[in-house]
Amino acid sequence: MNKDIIRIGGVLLSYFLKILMIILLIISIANRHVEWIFGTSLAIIVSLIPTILKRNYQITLPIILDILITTALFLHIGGGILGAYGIIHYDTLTHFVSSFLIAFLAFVIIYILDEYWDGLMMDKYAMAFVVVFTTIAMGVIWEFNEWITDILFGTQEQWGYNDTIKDLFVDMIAGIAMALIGVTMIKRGSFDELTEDFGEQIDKKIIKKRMNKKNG
Amino acid sequence: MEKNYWYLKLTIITLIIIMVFLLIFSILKEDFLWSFFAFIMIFISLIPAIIRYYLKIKIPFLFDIFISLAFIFHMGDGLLEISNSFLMYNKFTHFFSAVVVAFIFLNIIFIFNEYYRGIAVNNFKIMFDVIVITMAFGVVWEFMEWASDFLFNLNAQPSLDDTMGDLFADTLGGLFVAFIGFLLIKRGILKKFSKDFKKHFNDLIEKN
Repeated sequence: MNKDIIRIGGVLLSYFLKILMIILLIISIANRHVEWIFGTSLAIIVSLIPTILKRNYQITLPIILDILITTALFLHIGGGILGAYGIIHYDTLTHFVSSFLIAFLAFVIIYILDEYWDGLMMDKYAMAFVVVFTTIAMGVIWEFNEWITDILFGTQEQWGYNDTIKDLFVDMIAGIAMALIGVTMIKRGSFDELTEDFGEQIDKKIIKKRMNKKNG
Repeated sequence: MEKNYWYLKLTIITLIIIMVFLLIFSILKEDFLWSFFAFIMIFISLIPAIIRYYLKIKIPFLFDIFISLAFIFHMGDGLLEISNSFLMYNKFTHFFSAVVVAFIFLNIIFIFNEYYRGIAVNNFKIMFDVIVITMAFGVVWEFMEWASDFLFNLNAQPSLDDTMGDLFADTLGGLFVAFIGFLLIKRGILKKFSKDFKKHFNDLIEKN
């Protein structure tokens, strides 16, 4: 019962954020910001991936993952269209949410593979360790992406040395935060509850299918 | 009969002596911050030997050599300012240090995977872990450079491009070792290299 209420609340929040993104799309169309019309449309499509996966492939992503994806995208396009990146520490907040999303995704993937796949067996602390390092590494890849974009297109994605170091630091903090939350949740058994549906679907649709194929 | 590996031991001693000379050089140069760094670097280079002696854990001698070499290269940059003459020298030191970190973690992950029951992963996961850990260590190194610039005004990080170049060199180091590591695992070389650890893990399990 409690689980259902949380899920319904999460779905409502996710749809609320998606409606806000549609409003942002209308604003960018009204302002004729071609770059943001494209960006917002793409963000809306990406935020609908959890819904598409559920409807067409019967894969239910954890609702927190849905909310995190939508929040990260909403904060980014909202910041761009409404000029919120000018607000002090707004950029830090968007980096933190995006990195936390990556860390959460990494934790979910590793946990599910550990639970359902014979090819991976990991202690929860080893999982936390890998999640922190993966989040930092993804932050580096993001910075590479910005750096190369600036070189090739003359944009100013990277604001400077101190800003880049701060971004990487925020990525690390997000990774550590998720690692601590993840370990605590695994100890309490709530991480299992959170990923149960998704894990079973992945097991049924991908892992067992591949095993059966391998065994002829 | 156990092998002596005198040539490896001699190499390690030589490298430590070079580091001590560089420490003396930094004192003569009155670069006391680098004297402090050199002291810390010598201590870290001695850690495998300390573990070997006091904990009786047979860490391969190659670890000592790689760690000492990485620090000597960094001293060459900071103390002898070689990168002023050779622009790519700084990137080389980053690449080499990344290779050392990646190699150490490749061994640690492989050993845990082989001899510890709590972890069992496939080879591709080992490669992935080696790459992300090396990249993350590169970031931690950049944090240290930022902190040293902030605290001591060292100018270790002249520009954003330099930082991104360092991180790129670190990533290449991680990718290189992951690729080599995959071959070493496939051919059973890493297993031979780390066979002494089986006994350590057995002892540890028996004790607990």
